Formats: sequence, structure tokens, C-alpha cells
Amino acid sequence: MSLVVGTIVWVVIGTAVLSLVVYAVDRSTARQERKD
Amino acid sequence: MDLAHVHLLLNHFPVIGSIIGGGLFLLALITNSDDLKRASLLVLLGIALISIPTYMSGNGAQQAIASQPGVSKSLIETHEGVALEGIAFMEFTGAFAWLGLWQFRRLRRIPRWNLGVILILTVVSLVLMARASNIGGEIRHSEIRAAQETVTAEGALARTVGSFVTETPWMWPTCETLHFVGLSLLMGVVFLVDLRVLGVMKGVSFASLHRLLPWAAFGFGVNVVTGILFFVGIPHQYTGNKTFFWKLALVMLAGLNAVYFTIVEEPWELGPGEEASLTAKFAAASAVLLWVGVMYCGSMLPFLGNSF
Repeated sequence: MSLVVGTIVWVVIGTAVLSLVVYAVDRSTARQERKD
Repeated sequence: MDLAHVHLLLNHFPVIGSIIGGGLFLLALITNSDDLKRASLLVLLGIALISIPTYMSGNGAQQAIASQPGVSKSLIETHEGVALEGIAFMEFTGAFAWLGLWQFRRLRRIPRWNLGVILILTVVSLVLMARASNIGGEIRHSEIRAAQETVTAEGALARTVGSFVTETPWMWPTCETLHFVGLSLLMGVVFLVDLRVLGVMKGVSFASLHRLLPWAAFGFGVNVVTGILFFVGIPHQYTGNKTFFWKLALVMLAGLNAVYFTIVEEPWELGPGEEASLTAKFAAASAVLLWVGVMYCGSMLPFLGNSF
């Protein structure tokens, strides 16, 4: 994998996957808050 | 005082701290005590923070003793490899412990799934840290060294990871970019929270901004992982640089400061239009100074020291 392609691919994948995890935590906590 | 002293000073904390934190956590689960749960999570979070300079100062200690007679290079490498596994699990333990504290603040309880994750991670971290500690002890203490030197496959781990970081064309720039993404998230959220406490955007309640804290923690986590990868890639670039250790010291203090905004009652009760207490304002102002200090030391590594 070349420098440019590798950097773009892994930065996008890394940021997207981790952001989805934090988003899921935020949503589930907000849902629980509303339920309580 | 050099890095060998720092390593000797800190190297018992990850094991003893994990035993204390893990023991308290187990007791909290048995007695179902919320206060004990929070106290144990604080201990585990603190140990996760202290583990960072403990691991990094190990390279300085290695340079100090590697050429001395009777010191096994392969034993040092095995110690380093197992310690790298240990710190990886320890940082995840710290991350989930922080998440538990944040969840408790919002829900008045910690979800069961997170309690299970923290328990498993704590046990694995403790086992790995104890192994790293025991092998570390064998380096200088011939009286506890077995007839057959402890050499495992993990001995090559740190160098394998380090070579991957430095020799793969896209790896270092990817980590560098993610380090800046993490920094932006962390600083963005931290400054929003701190400015509100200091009196800007008074119409916003603290609880609303508290919801954003996992994004800051996520940014911090990304920076810890990428920062460790940089270090494992070229350790001597950092161990010989005093500015780097100032940066680490400031990160420790800023991490403690973040705990105040995560769990303490005082800022949490700050409603729309209300003025924060003097204590909260002091914590917010010191957070701004500490994080700016972290950024300053990070960006000055090539200028105040010999990195890059």
C-alpha cells in the first residue's frame, strides 16, 4: 500500500470506527437517561 | 535523577495498584457498593495513567544498564515485550474505568456490561503486569532468576511493533494524522467545558457539555495509543529529551484534572445562567494551562530537545 493511499484509508477507517463506538455509547447512555 | 531512577520509583505501581484497584472493585461488586465501585475505578484510572511513564522510563533504564556485566539483553527485551502487552491492557482498563465513572455521573449506576469488561481487563492487566514485573526483577536480581533464563516469544514484540511503525511507509504519517485528530477532539471539548465554567456561554448547563466528554476521552485515547506507537518506534528519540518528560508530567496532571469534571458534584450542578464556584473556576483555568502546556511541550520536542 502506498504512502498516500495507506494514510488516507487507515485514517478514515480508524476515525470512522472509533467515532461510531463513541456515538453508540452516547446514544445508549442518552436512551437510558430518558428511560430512568 | 535520571530515567533509571524514575523507572525504579514507578515500576511497582502498576502491579500493586492493580491489586488494590482490582481488589476494591471485586469487593464493590460483592457488596454492591456504588461508592466502592467509584473509588476502585478511580484507582484503576490513576494506575493506567502512571503506567505510561513507567513503561517509557523503562527504555531509559535499559540504556543505563544494558552494557553492564551480568545483564542479559534478551531478558531486558522479554521484559519490554511483556510490559508492552501489559500497558496495552492497562490503558484499556483505564479507558473503561473512566467510562464507568462518566456513566455513573449520568445514570447513577454503571451498566453491567461495563462492570464485566472492567473486571476481565483488570485481571488480564494484573497478570501481564505481574509477569513483566517479575521478569524485570530477574534482570538485576540473580537470586530470583531461574536456572533457565525467562525468554518468551514476547521478547521480540516491542521491536516488531517498532519496526512496523518506522518501516511501513504509511504507518507513521497515519499515526501522526490520528494524533492530531485526537488532539483536536480533546482540546475542542475540554475548552468548551472549561470556558463554560469560567463564565462564557452561561446559558448552557454543565450537564449538556458533560455529555460531550466521551469525545474528549476518545481523543485522549487515540493520542495515548498513537503516542505509545511513536515511542515504541524510536524510543531513544524521546528518552533523551527532557521536554518529553515534562509533557508526560503535564498529561498526568491534566488527567487528574479531568476526573474533577467527570465525577465531582460541584460543576455537575451548574445550571443555565448560573455562576460556577471558585473551585470549579480554578479547576477550569488550570485545565486550560495544563493542556496548553501539553501541546507546547509536544510541539517543542524538536526545538527544546533533540527529537526529530
